[in-house]
Amino acid sequence: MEVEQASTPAQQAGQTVKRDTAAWNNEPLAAGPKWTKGDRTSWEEQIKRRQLAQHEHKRIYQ
Amino acid sequence: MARMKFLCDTERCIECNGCVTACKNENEVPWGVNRRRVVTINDGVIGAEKSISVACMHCSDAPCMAVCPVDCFYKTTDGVVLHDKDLCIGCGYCFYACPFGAPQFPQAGAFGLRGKMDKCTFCAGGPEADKSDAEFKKYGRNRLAEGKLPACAEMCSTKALLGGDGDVIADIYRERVARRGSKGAEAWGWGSAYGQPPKGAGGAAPAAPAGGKS
Repeated sequence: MEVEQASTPAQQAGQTVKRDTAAWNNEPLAAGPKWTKGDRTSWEEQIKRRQLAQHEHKRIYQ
Repeated sequence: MARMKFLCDTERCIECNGCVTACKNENEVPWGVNRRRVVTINDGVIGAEKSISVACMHCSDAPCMAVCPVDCFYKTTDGVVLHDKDLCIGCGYCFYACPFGAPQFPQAGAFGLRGKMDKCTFCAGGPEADKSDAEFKKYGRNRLAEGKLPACAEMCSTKALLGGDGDVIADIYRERVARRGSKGAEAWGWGSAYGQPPKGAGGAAPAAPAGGKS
């Protein structure tokens, strides 16, 4: 079952409905990676840039 | 659209367990729970040892999600498979279903008492509020909400363990395999799965790298 973020697992009787905030809907840390809060594209772009540190042939120094 | 995956390059893994340590430290995983572990085959056989770091693979069609009787699993739009510990009843079905042994249970009590299932979250936390204490206590660190990648992949000493967007992983792995002359792809190919001898033993050519699959 694939759900959109800010959506929930199936509600169980007597259980509180849980919601999961999307990762990009958070404020970036002061000393950490930067993206525009709420903008999924900017978050994905910085994640992909960060991933290049795993690629020594194209490594960027963070 | 990012689709989060792991891939462990068996040609590079040196069984340092740095990924295991990083995960345990970052998420304060309790004793007895091994969200990530390194499996070595042909241990002690010189030249034939292969190690691979295994945790939840965040399957596109997750069997754990399919068998859960209380439907506590969900998948984020990035493809990360997570679960809600408040709904989990500790039945263990997901453990039986998972081909990687990813679900872990903190207790081994009487009458099959297991406790709430715990597993690798791709450092994406859980349904509690992002970066909250409640989320950290239950699910560990939410590094994706901080714009980071899982601790295991970022800490890998040889960059054997790749973690992040599947397309980028595929590019990285494809370039590595091409640079070292197709070495390593045979561990993932159809030839290995269906009994053809590996390349170099007079067998079939290795299949495409795993990153090409969904």
